[in-house]
Amino acid sequence: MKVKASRAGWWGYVFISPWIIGFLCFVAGPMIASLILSFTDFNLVDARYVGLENFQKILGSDEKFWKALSNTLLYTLLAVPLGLTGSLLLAVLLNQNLKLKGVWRACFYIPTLVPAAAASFLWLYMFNEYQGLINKTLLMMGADAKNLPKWFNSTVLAMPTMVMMSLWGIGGARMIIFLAGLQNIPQALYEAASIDGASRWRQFWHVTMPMLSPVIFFNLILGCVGAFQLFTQAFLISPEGEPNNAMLFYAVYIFRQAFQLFHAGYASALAWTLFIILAVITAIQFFFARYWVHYEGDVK
Amino acid sequence: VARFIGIFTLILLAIAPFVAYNVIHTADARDGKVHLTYMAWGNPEQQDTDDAVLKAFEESHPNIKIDFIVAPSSDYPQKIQIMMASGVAPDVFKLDLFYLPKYFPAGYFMPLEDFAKKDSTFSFDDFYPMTKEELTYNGKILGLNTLFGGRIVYYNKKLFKEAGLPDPYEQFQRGEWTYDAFANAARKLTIYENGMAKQFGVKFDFYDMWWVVWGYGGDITDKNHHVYIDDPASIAGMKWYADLLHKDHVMPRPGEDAAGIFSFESGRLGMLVDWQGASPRLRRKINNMFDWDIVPVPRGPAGHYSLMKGNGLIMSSKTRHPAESWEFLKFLNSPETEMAYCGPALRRAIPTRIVEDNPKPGRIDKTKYLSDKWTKNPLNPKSSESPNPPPPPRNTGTFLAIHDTAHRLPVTELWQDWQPDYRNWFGRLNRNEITTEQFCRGLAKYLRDLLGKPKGDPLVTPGKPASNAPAGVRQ
Repeated sequence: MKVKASRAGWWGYVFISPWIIGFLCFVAGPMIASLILSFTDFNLVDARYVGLENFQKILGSDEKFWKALSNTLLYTLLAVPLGLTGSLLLAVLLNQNLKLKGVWRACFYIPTLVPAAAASFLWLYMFNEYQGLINKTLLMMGADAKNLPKWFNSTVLAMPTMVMMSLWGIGGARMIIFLAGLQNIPQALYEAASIDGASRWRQFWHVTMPMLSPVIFFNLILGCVGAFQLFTQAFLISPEGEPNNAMLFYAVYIFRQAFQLFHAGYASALAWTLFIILAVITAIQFFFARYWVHYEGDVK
Repeated sequence: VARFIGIFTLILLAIAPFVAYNVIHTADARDGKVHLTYMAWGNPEQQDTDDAVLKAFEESHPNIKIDFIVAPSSDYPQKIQIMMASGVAPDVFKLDLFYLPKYFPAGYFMPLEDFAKKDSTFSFDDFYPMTKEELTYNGKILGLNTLFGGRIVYYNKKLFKEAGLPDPYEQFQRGEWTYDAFANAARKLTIYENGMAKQFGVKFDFYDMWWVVWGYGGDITDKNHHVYIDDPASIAGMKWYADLLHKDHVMPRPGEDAAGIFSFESGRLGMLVDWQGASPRLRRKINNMFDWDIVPVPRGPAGHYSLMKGNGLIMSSKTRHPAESWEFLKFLNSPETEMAYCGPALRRAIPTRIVEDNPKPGRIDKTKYLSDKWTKNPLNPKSSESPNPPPPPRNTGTFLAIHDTAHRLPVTELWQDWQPDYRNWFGRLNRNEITTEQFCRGLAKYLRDLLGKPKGDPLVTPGKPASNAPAGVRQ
């Protein structure tokens, strides 16, 4: 029996060996290499050991690191809650007994099939100060032509514009996960609440939200990680971080250091700093999760 | 048995990459030919010429096969630098000169003097000195220059006629093509209706700030990392530019040119300042919708300066076939190939080889080069089409004229480090967030902090020519 189990285990390793080799060679290997490189001054030509110098520079004198970090943090603080709320509301809406429910669900999902690059250019044009559909609409509504918002070209409005653009994706995978979570809530709970005289709002707040909290938590973690790693849209809309570094995102800054300035050692240190920041944020989220995330069968 | 199969599978998977590598690198043995890899970025308008050049080389060198790798220009710098760092650089590759100083110390590039000395068919004396100097570091010539070209002014002849303006090339020939004439034309070519721009006079790029300040006797920085952008002459040059943008508003501001509605090919732009390499693209896109031509950038109050640069054709120091790579490099840069790219049919660039009347072998025939008639060139399949009348640009005198006034960029190992911030400062000026003075002083402080040099010597003679360079060529 034991021999059989051992053989089965071997076959298991054989079948997953492509993945293990791929993981070791293309994920774990580069990660370890980048950790080592983060302690060097490596420009793809020479690597010189510099100890903690890169990290000292990041936390001390690199103004752009703080700018990129604060921009990314602001984006996360705005885009993630808004996106989660939007996806949740959309999922609740599409979970109702509507006619043509399948068609509505497809309609809301379709925009997320547009590639990020194409969507970025579309929004760039929509928000154009002079030719964009949004400002043209504002003009038609009687706005002053000389004081139209500059959207991506304004230091103040660039970030809110980016957040507005991110809401384009509220009907995507996140909404599908919410929808699946909503459908897993036992109908009996709503019936019981209804018999006790709970209004729809009360049912939503005291049944839907607690039962959905693990899904919300899951989407929150993924949303924060995704927001911190935002690259494609940010790079396409403002590769230089303009205006005045108001659109300089952390991942774009890592890319700039690694592949435009070829400071690969410094970029590795930036990447590991981001890893630590994300780990801390995730740990904090897990710590506070015990106060609001409800798992069925939990004993508190 | 199962354990054996499992271990065997693991070993197979582990050695697969090495087998693949070996298969790729034994291509030479398969057909008995020497295989050279050549990497360059793509350009749709010159694809036919690229293909014809490679085919002609393989026909004339039957023992060599070229494996051509085309990479998108946007990813090219990253790709080639990672290949060089990984020790798998192509035998021959194209590289923008911006990247040479930084990677010269790593020894990625094969110096070419020894090849030239042993080759009686080749002489560096056949090249314009500036094209060699661009690719020379620590006294070593690291590549042959190609697709050499400068910033020139493309102008819409139809719009000039409608505005009642004189032809700029005729003005240039009379010596009247000055900053004032240029600005005057830009103002007259700009049309507003109900406060909205319908047509703009001109469009610049951040590269153009170099010739703009040179023309006023100023500069941005030099190869010794001295900074001059806050010099009064440089400030005057930048003010001329900023006034065109903000005071006269004769060029689109950031965001105003969404989706290229004021692109040159749209017919709603009077003048475009761009690299000479834009010619084939504009010819294809405009497709005879209107007539256009070219003229050098205007003469500034302190003199006539234009900006030129080329691309390096580099031989990898790791090549296993240096002799064959040298043959290929020579072919890519031969007078015939240069005429295919630079001659009447493509007018893509300016020859790096000296252009003269009755040329000796290795140089370019001036009459053929400046001809506006498409002569048949086997290296340019489209040249036999010979349309009548020939398509623009026809002011071919522009090419050699800008050669006479050329400056090159002071590219050093720190060039890449300050370009993103330079563009950021430039963006702030374009958005009218800062004044010209603030731009010049702020950028100067930033550059001095980064480049670590104090204010340079007073800028008495901008563009002082070196003794061995053509007139006007800055060192």
